[in-house]
Amino acid sequence: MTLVCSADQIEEGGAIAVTEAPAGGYVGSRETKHNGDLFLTGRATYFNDVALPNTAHAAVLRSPHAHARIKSIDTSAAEASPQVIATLTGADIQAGELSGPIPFFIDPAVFGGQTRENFPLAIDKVLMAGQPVAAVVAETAADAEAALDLITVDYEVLDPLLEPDEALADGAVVLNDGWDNNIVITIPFVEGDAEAALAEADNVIEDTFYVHRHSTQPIEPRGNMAHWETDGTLTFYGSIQNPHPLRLHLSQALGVSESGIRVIAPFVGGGLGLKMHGHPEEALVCILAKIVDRPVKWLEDRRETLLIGGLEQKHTFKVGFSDDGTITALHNRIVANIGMLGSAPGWGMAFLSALGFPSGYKVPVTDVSVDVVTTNKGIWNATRGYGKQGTNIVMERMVDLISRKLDLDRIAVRRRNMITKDEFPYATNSGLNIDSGDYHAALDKLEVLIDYEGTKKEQARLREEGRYLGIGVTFELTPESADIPGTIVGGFDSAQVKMDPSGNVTVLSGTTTPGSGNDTGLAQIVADEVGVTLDKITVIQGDTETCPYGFGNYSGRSIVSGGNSAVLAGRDIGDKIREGAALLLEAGGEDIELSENMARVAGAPDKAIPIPNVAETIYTLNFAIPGIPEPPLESTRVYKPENIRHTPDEKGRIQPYPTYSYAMHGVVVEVDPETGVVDIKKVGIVHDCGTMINPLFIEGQMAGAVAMGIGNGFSEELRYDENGVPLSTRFKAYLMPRAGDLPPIELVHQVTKSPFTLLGTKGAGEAGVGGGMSVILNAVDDALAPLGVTIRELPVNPPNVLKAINEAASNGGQG
Amino acid sequence: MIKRRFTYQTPSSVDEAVAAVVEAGADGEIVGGGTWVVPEMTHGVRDPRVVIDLRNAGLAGAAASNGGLAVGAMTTYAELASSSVVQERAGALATMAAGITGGAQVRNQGTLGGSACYASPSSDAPGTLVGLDATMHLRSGSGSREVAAADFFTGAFEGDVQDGEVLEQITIPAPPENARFGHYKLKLVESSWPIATATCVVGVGADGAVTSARLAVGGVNTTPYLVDVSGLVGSTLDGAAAESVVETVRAGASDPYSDVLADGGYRQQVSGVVAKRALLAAS
Repeated sequence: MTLVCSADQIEEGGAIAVTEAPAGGYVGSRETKHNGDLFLTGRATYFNDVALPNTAHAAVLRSPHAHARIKSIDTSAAEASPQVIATLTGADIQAGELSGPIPFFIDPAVFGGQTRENFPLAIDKVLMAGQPVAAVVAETAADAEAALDLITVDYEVLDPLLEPDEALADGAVVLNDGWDNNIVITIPFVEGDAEAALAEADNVIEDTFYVHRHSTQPIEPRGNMAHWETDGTLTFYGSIQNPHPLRLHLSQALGVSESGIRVIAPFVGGGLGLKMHGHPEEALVCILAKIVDRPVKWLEDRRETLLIGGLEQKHTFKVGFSDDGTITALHNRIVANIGMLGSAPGWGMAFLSALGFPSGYKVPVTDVSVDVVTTNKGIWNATRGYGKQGTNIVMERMVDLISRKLDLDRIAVRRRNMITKDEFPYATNSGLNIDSGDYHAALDKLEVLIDYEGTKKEQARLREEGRYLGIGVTFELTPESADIPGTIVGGFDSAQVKMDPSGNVTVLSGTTTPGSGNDTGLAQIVADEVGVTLDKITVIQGDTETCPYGFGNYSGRSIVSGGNSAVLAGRDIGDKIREGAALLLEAGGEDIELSENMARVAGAPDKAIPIPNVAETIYTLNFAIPGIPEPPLESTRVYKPENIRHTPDEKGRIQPYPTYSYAMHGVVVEVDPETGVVDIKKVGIVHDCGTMINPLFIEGQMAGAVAMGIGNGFSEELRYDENGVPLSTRFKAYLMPRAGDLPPIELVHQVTKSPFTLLGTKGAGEAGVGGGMSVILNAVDDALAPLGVTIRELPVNPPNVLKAINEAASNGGQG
Repeated sequence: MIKRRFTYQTPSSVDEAVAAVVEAGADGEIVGGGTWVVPEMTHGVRDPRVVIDLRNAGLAGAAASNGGLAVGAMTTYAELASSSVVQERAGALATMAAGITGGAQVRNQGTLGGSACYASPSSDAPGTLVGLDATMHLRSGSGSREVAAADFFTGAFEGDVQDGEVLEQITIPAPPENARFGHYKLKLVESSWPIATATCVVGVGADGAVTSARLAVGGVNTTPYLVDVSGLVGSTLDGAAAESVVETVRAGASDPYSDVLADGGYRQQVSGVVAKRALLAAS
């Protein structure tokens, strides 16, 4: 079931009113994927479908130790193997000056933190199990992998630091040379005197919450291929999210001109943040290709994908509130375990987890800070949600704890504390400026969607039978489309729209699609602007040679930045067509309307000309017809969303996000108190991303995001043994949700347009992950409330749930 | 990716299979359905030079035998799940087979004999075979050998298959009069390996009282274990009767298995619950 409604279309106690999709143009309509046949019939070109003649294959030898000094590496036996073309070690890179350090996607030094130099292969020390130490190139990928067994590495194994407690202890070994300690950076966000406000509060809850280490696992793993052309330029193919920024960073690492590098991203089978770059294997394939003077390809194995984690963080919080449930003060110390500090942008998620407090709630006094701690666990990379999960989970946990302590309804407490619709734009304590929304209307709709009152009655009835139904209701705020100054996280993007003499339109974008369908969205936007049907439109993304400069995809930005720039570029072409048509139709000053490949004089439908005729005329009779618009029919435009502010305020805070999407989540679960197994019975979401270009894709994104969030929250976990060796090495050990784990997802769209973007769009695609995690957690907690259980850690998998039940029982029913 | 080349053999009889296994020696690996061996070759855990695939060795199929069942080692889960004679004479085996994780692809590929020989603590077949009092029939160059399932599983990933032997057949004795079968599996989520299983065979007299009862628990210890449930004889199999075995079952979890999905403490705690639910399924 999917309903579309605007923010005000529910009457108190009434049903949800449904709005039909807007008639007329493509924007807002439920078009199916414009190139979907390619995907359904297996003809879409993914990274591993790209075949260059004479390609050799690379494999990477990885450290089995979490912390060790490399005393020596002997590659002679591998070199002697007839299948092996070349081997490479970190010492070789250093001796040959083959690569500089891999530039950071977001360098902690930009924010005053400690940083390190990461090379494609470890130089003398490894800081995580799985860190690349050597590489082999062979004729086949299997031969390359087999040859890894022939390399001998002499390690001096060092004690690993796996937990922040160890890494922050007095006298702890400092993992990175030249650092003062193991803290990458501490980031505080302080507004008012939290200790004083807590002392004055009617009630204070002190507690902790641990968000476990998990990751994101796209269907298609990473892959890179490099080819040095005969003219000395480099062509790089990769399953990546950010072609232009990667080109800059490859240029810097390899010491070659940026103009001598072409980066091509074929269709991507899921990005989810994992394919934002800074990984060692990107520059590595370039070096290897140079050495063997052939194209070199590396395709990631799932065991390698599972080395990359994220999110692991512990919150120690105090929240003050009055007897009516009004939150008055919040104090939270977050310690994030980012593992080894890699050059990929993952560590920045810890920043976001702190920045986002207090989410969509009005809390006058807040003191939140995060210690970003490096250990010998695996690196982080971005995972969809980019740290906002941490904020949402803990903020929503606090609200439920308050509700339980005061015996107030969870929805009532949320209603009391949320920003109201007339308070937007709303400046938060951490310096954010939330653009727009109507959280209370979303709560109203959610209550109807999940039959909140009816479910509460059912819960009470089942408790009499000794069955444990749980209800979770949580809010999720997703700041989107960031621009971080001094980094390659850019908030604007570009589009080029070109019409050929046949009236066909090509859209080239600086954004990329990870499979989310933003390419179809761009086609819909441009089709409306230039008045052609969707079949006339071709969208090209992911090639630095052909596409205008842009930042690719992350942060729910592709439509906010790329889509709105496509509006501008498309409008330029539309204007020229209108101008040409007016001339050819002798329309005088009358308006020209463009639709369905026709240009028509407004109010005179018989005065019309096919748009291709106008285009052909502009290209072929430009000297013959005075006043006809100038060719070519091409325009490149950039759109910079409003609301971003990089001039620091009096507290040094900047405002990096134009838009703030949000979602209200509700789930119903039943928990088996004898085994801890969680059965998810109902999932409902009310989601607001402003203007929707195509509700169908929003629904796909939301279903995927919430399934991902629930999986992250109730089954997925990256675990290590006591030596820091990963245990979650395959999908039988890292448990992703399957269809049978989830009921059908019910979604309601609420639309409050952003006042700060051209079409009123907000970011879409990330909301759902943090909400899915927080809502499953709160529902399990609610189910087990009669047993005195308080959930303090994720995932809520059966062993953890049963442990919480046992602990409550041993405390006499006091969680 | 399977990184090294190997020789692939498909012997066309048990005798040929035994000969191939003897010849390959330590370099050889027997493949039933391949659902364990092939992923482990992909992950580099196993690196055989010779792979002996029994698909053509004539070992597939389940049939009535001596009042019970004779199941070829290469019988797939899908065959077990859809066989009426299996349903009738060893219903728990059909229930187990139908509940194998991985969908139709795995149930069409995975075999009962392969799973038994792999002897993973976190798998469905071992506990079920012990619960059904199965006998394992092994062939070697020097003849045949029979081992009770309860003795066959000797440790985590250790089955009593000696060098040069091939598991040929599994037999299951005739069920008691008015037999009722119960099987229950606990897993964490859809994709999870089994965490604990319980299988029971209960004979019920005309008066509704239990005449015989046998119950085995899998997944909890490193090997399946039988639980003495003789106390159920004479009683009616109801909720209270099922509840009565819980502590005995937990006490039997003396050497609980831990892996990345669940530690021994969890397995021990849920063992009794799983046994109770198997009995309720038979009631």
